[in-house]
Order: sequence, then structure tokens, then C-alpha cells
Amino acid sequence: MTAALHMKDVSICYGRKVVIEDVSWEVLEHDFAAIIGPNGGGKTTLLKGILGLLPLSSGEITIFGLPPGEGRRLIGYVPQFHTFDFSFPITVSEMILQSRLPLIPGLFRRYREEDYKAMERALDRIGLADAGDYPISTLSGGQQQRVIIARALAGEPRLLILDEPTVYVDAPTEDLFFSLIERLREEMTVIIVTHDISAISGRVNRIACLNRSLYTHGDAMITDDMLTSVYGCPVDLIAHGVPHRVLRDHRGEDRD
Amino acid sequence: MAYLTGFSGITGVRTVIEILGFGFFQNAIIAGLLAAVACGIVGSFVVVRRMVTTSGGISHAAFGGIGLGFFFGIDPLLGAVFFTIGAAVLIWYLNTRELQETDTITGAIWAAGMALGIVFVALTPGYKPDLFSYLFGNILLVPTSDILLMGFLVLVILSVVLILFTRLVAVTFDSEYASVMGMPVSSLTLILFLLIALTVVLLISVVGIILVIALLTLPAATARLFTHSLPAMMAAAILIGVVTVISGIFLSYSFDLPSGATIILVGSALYTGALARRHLHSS
Repeated sequence: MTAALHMKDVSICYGRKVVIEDVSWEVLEHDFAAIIGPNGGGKTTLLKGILGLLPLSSGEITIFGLPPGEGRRLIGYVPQFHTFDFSFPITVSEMILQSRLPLIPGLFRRYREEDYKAMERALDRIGLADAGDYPISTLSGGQQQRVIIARALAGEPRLLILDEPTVYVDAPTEDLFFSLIERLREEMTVIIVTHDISAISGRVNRIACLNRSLYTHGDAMITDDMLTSVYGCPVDLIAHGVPHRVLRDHRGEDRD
Repeated sequence: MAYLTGFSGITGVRTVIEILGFGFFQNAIIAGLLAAVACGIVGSFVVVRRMVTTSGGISHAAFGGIGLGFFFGIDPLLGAVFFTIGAAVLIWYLNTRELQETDTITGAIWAAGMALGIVFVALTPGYKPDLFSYLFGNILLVPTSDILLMGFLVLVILSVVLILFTRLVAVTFDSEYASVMGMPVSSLTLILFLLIALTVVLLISVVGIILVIALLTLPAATARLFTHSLPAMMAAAILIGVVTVISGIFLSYSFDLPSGATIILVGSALYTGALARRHLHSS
């Protein structure tokens, strides 16, 4: 089986500064994977590498066997929530349709019947089937977040990548969000990228910690060692999904 | 005082018909309509993408081109076309290279353009031209040659926006996502800047360099208050622009006021009114 995401010895540099170093990882089809790491740990850079927006200094990335530039059309990308201008005069359906643009041929790039159908399917999946004509400014925060996901879904991706999906979202909205992701996972591979360890669902089956290099351990285990090496200090941890499952106490001392 | 009676009864109708018979007045109306179309469409992009300061930089740089036009004895408006396009490309280039803050670049180009214009005019031998109408506009003095240039520019703007509409909206709304989708965000941004450059030239004859930003943004900002999609906003902005410019022309003629300033004051009044109305409705 071809991996949904395959990275082998990937390094990315800005000038002489090494931001990503020797990262190797594989996410299989229908995995629910998470990349966690502190801010400034290179998450955004690695994402740009995966999306083909930054050249790799060395190594190889493939998406379903394709190089990033080509594999990009198989990826549904859900950017960070706070980068949006929700006062923009645009309706929900107009916003979602935009992810169809790369699929439309011709000089004028006008939306076709099938684009409208894909948009309606995406709206239906996030449970906002009737909201197509609403201006995005009239939606609640949780609805806006789901519309960003619907935009990614309308491109009919096989791999959904979510960048910091739970920042600025309250707890009930977060629960709603994870139940939506649970349903989507049956149809596609999902990768969540976040600095917020508590945002990781207990149902994640593959975790990696990123701080310039990638630390993996088993499948879905976060260990003290991983956190200490990634965050540079011991971290208290409450896992999402199982309420108040406090992971065992860290040792509170340096690794070496 | 005869013109003051122009707004009452049959005499009023006859006065309006009489002044519409003047060639200069017809030119003014046509120039006003062309300007309203351009600023409704491009102004909407400027307002939603927050490019007002960039537009200010581009429009003030036009003064350099007007000075150059006088110096070489060519149509000053044609000189302005070169300078606004040059300024747009320069701002875009420095911007995408992230060499400087956009704000700083814009300020520098803004001032340097004005300074160049003044130097060129000073160097022009003999007759010193009337710069006032370029700075503050005089729509009642627009020659037919300028109308032709304006018509051509509107045609270019309309065609570009018609072809690229869905892509321009995507880049304006969320440029990061557009680049993730593999769209040429940088080129599309340059096209937006060039559209602003052409629109600025159109508006110079109507309201003058100093007041260009106001006419570019006021109708669009007013339209935004009661529309929820970009096509609707543009249509409303064109309509508001037409009302603003035409009533501005009539008011300025009737009360013998400077046309550019009168047009802007009408636009400001409409915007203030729309803001107040929304404020009353929401509270």
C-alpha cells in the first residue's frame, strides 16, 4: 500500500539556518495522525514542504506516491482559524467553491454544475446544508471553523491536513469538531498539526513530536522522553478524549 | 443668482436640459460615469483587501508623470499612466521580496512622486501650467481626448476583471490558501496593483490626485455596509459612484463650487449617512 504521506531524510533550510533536519515519517491511508511541537519548532515550515510551497534542501516527500507539487491536489488544507477576515463580503457557498478553482479548466474559471454539487456535499457533511447563502460574517465561531473544513472537503481530498485546528475554540466546539473529524476519517487520512498537546484526540493512532527533528515512539504514545526532548522541559499532560486522563507524572529532571 | 432657481419647477427642468446641451457638460457626465464604473469595481477590491494606502502611494506618484508630461510636451495624463504603472510595479516588487515594510515603501513612493512632479514643472521652460486642476480635479474641463483614454482604460479594467474574477476574489479573500492551491498569487497581486494604477489615472481628471483615494474608497465602503458578496458590492458601489459623481457635478455647477471637492463631499455625506443608518438599525 502506498503511504498517504511519506517523508525520507527531509531537511529544509532558510539560508544557512536549518529549520527541519532529517525528518523521516510515514502516515498510512486512513490513519489519524498528529504532529505536535512547540511554536517555532518548524511545524509551519514542514507543512509548507509537504504542500510544495518550499523547496526541500534534501530528502524526499511524497503524497500518495506523488511529489508535493502534484500531490497537492489530493490534499485538503485547513489553515489556522485566526488568519481569516470573517468580515469579508462573501457567502458560505462562494467561500467553499474556491477550493474547486484548481480543478476548473479554461480562461474564465467559472464554477460548473459539478463544482456546485461538490460544494453542497461538503456543506452537508459539516451539518450546515442550509447555510450556503449566509454571509460568513453571520456565522458563529464554531460554524466558521466547520466552513473552513468544508472548503477543504469540496476539493475532494484524500488527505486532510489541519493546522492548529483547536486554537481559539471553546470546549463544546472542540468536542463537535472532533466528532466531525471522527466521521471524516472513515473516508480519508487526517493529519493534525498543533502545539497544543491537550488538543490531541485519544483516537489519534500515530503521533510525532517535531522540534527541528521528528521524535516518534511506537504508534500513538507520547512519552516523557519525547516531550522533554521536544519542549526542552517536562510537561504536564491531560489527554483529550478520555476526560482527565492525566498521564503519569514526569520525573522532573533533565534527561542527561 | 439665476442658477439657484435651477432646482425649482419648470425653469429647473429647462436649466438642466440647457446645461446638458453644453459639450463640456456632456464630457463631464461621460467622464463621471466612466470613473464611477472603474472605482466601483477596483475600489471594492481596494476596500476589502485593505489597499487604501497602497492606492494613495500610486496616485500621488502620478504627479511625477504629470510633471514629466509638461516637461516633454506630451499629454500629462499619458505621463501619469507611466508613473502609476511604475509605482504599482515597484511597490509590488519590494513588497513580494519582503525587503521593506509596505507602509514605508508606500510613503517613500508617495512623497518622491510628488517631488519629481514639482521639479519637472519647475524645469519646464516658459508657461507654467495650472497644476491646481490636476491636484484637485476639474471634471468640467475634461477634453474629448481624455474621454477616449478613459474609455479605453475602463475597457481594459472590465476585461481583466471579467476574465480573472474568481481568481482575484480567491486571492483577495485568502491569499495563503490560494497559494496552497497552486495559484499564481504574486502575479495576481501585481494585476490588482496595475488595475489600481489604471483606475487612479481615470480618477485624476475627475477629482484630482489628492482626492483620488476618497473616490476610490467611499462608494465601495458605503456599498459594503449593506452587501454580503463581492459582485453585489461592486454593483452597488458603481451605482453609488454614479449618484455621487453626477450630483456632485450638478451641485458644483449650480453653486459654482470646485467640482472635485464637491463630488468628494457628496460621497462622504452618503457614507456618513449609511454608517449612521446602520448604527441606528443595529442598536
